[in-house]
Amino acid sequence: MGNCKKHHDGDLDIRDLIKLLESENNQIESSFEGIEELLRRNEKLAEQLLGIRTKRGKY
Amino acid sequence: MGNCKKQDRKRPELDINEISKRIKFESKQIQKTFGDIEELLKKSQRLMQRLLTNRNNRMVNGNTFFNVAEAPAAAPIVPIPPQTPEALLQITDFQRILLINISEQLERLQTLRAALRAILVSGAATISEISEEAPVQALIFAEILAEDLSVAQREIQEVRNNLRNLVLTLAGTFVI
Repeated sequence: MGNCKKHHDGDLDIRDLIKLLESENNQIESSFEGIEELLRRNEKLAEQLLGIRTKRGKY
Repeated sequence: MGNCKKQDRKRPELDINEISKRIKFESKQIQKTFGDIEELLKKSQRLMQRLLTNRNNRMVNGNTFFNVAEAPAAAPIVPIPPQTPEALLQITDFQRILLINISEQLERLQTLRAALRAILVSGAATISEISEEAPVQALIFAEILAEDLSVAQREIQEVRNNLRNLVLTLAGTFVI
């Protein structure tokens, strides 16, 4: 593992990487918020039209 | 592109900057694809509402038809052949298949969202946990996370593409 030299002398360190993962997760969460309600409504409409529950994958 | 996942043995660029760039790139792609999916879901909601309204209207008209027909001195205003109430309630088999497929994509989307959370949140926690004792392993793990994220990203794109085809096809079933 001698060639793994960069983890301390790069511009970023492991802490930055952790922060990055957390902040990307927040951004992804908020971009998903836009579809959250639409997803629910779509599921409900599909259920009504199909006359069955689709939530738990029962067809 | 497709063959860059098997660099695990040599890891010529086990570089935190590269890993960060890759994570950012995949995350941006995911957010963009979610935006596309949002538009598609709006469209599919409209179409389904229309299907439901059409069905309900047919039910109402059907009932009026039966009522009118049963009234003693009703004028024979019935050019359409009589249908059973069951038939009036139904959407076509093709529409039904499309709706089932749309529902499957919606479920897949929920699963992928949970997977994303696991990759990013549990991933961050794990890296933080092992980075003190084993910084190199933490970096290797981060690289695996970046790969997982890229797999999830491609799957989300696939859901978007499937939804796009299904919604377009569903729209095509409305011939008015």
